[in-house]
Amino acid sequence: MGPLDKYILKEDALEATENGFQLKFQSHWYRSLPLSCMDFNLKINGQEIEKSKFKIKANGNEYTYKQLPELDKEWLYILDRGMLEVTQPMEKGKEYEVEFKYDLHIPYILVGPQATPLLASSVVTKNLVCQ
Amino acid sequence: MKLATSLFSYAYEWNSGQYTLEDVIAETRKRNLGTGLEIIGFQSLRGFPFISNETIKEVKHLLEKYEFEPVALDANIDVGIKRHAKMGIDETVEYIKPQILAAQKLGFPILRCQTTAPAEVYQKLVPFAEKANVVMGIELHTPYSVDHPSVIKMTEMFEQMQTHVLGFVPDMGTCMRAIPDALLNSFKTAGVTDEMIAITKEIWHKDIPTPTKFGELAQTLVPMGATPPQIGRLNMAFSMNGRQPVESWKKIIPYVVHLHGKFYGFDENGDEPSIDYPAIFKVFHEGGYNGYISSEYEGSAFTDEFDAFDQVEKQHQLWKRILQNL
Repeated sequence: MGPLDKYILKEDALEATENGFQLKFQSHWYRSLPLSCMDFNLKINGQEIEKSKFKIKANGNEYTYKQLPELDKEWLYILDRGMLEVTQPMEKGKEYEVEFKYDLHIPYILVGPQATPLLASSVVTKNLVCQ
Repeated sequence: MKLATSLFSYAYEWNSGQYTLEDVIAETRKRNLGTGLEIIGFQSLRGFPFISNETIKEVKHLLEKYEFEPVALDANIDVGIKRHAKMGIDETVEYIKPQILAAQKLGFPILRCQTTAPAEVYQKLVPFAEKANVVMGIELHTPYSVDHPSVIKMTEMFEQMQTHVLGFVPDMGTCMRAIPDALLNSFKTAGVTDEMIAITKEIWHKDIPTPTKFGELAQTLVPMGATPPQIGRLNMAFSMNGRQPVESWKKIIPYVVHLHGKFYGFDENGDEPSIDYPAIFKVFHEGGYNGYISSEYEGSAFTDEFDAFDQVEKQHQLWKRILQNL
C-alpha cells in the first residue's frame, strides 16, 4: 500500500521448522497494533494455504487463526516481527515464491456509513530462500 | 510561536529498525529542528501505555541530554480495536486513562487525543486529567474542521467545562490549498493516469461534501476504465486533504493548545505548495497563540523518494523565514 510495505518480509523471513515452516512479518503501519486488528492470506508457489493451518505467534504466545479478532491485548510492537507457522513441509535452502497479503484494520480511523475501521491492505510477493 | 518536531515524521526510517530512539532524537537536535519534541506512544515506546520505569528514565534522559522540551505525547483512541464491536463510552474512558498517566510519568503536558471518541468521553475524563495535570488536546484532523458537527459539540462542551485540561490540536492537513502533486504522482504506480489526476484535482476544488466528491469521481472515472483500486487511491486525496479556509481557525484559537504542521513536500523555493504556512502562522499569531507547532512529515504514507530528516529540515527553514517576517 505504501513505502512501509518494504519492511513486511525481510530476506530471512522464511524459515523451516520441525513441523513445517514459519514466515516472519513486520507491520506496514507506523505504530504498534494488536493482533485483533490483523488478517493474513498466504500463497506459496501460487498455492493458497488454508487459514485453519495457521498458527500466529507474537511475544512468545501462540494462537489459531480463529482467535485473531479477539486478541486486542496481544500487541505486536512496531519494530518486532510476528510469525505465521504452517505445518507443511518446506526444504531448507530452496527458493519459494511467497505472496503475503497483510490486512490491517486501523482501529482509530473509522470510515463509511457503518463507521468501521479503515482497511489498510498490502500484498508483498517475494522469492525467498527457506532458511 | 515555537517550533517542534514530531517523531511521526521519521516513520519510514524508524520502521527500518536501523535507528534507536536516541539516534532520531540526536539527529533532530543536530539539525536544530526546534526546541520541542512530540512522541507517538504506540510508535516509539514498547509496551505503551504501560511503560516500564527504564523507558521513563530513558525518555527523560534523552529529552534532557538533547535539550528538548516535551511538548505532546500522542495517544490513539482505538475504539475499533475489537474489530467486530466498537468500544462504548465507559470502555473508551478506561482505554484513555493509562495514556494520560503515561504522559504524566514522561513529563509531557499535553496528550494528543482523537475525534474517534465523542465529547462525552473527554467530559468524563476531566477530573482524572485534572488530577494528573495533563491536557487532553483533541486533534482536528480532516474531515474534522471547525464546522464539523462533532467539533461544534466538542467546543460547546469545552465552554461548559471551563477547565485547562481540554483543548484542540488543529492539523494543517485540514486547511489545504491544493492536493500535493507528490501524493497524486505516487498513485501512478497503481496505473492512475494524468487525466484521472486532473479530474480529481478539479473535483477536489468544488464546494461539495466529501461523500458527494467520492460519487462524482467514480461516476466520471469508471466510464474511462478506472479500476476500483485506482479510484480507492484517488479517494484518499479527498479524505487526506481538507479544504477548510485558514481563517476559520480564528473561531477556536482560545482553545488551541498545540498545532500539527503536516506537510508533503516543497517546491524549488522551499515553499509547501499544498499548505499555506505564511497564512497559517499569521492567523494563529494574530489570534494570540504562542504555543508550539510540530513538523509532521506525511511522506511515509506515499513516497520513499526523500530523506525525512532533510524534509523536516526544509520545513523548519521555511518556518524560521516566516517567523522572521511576522
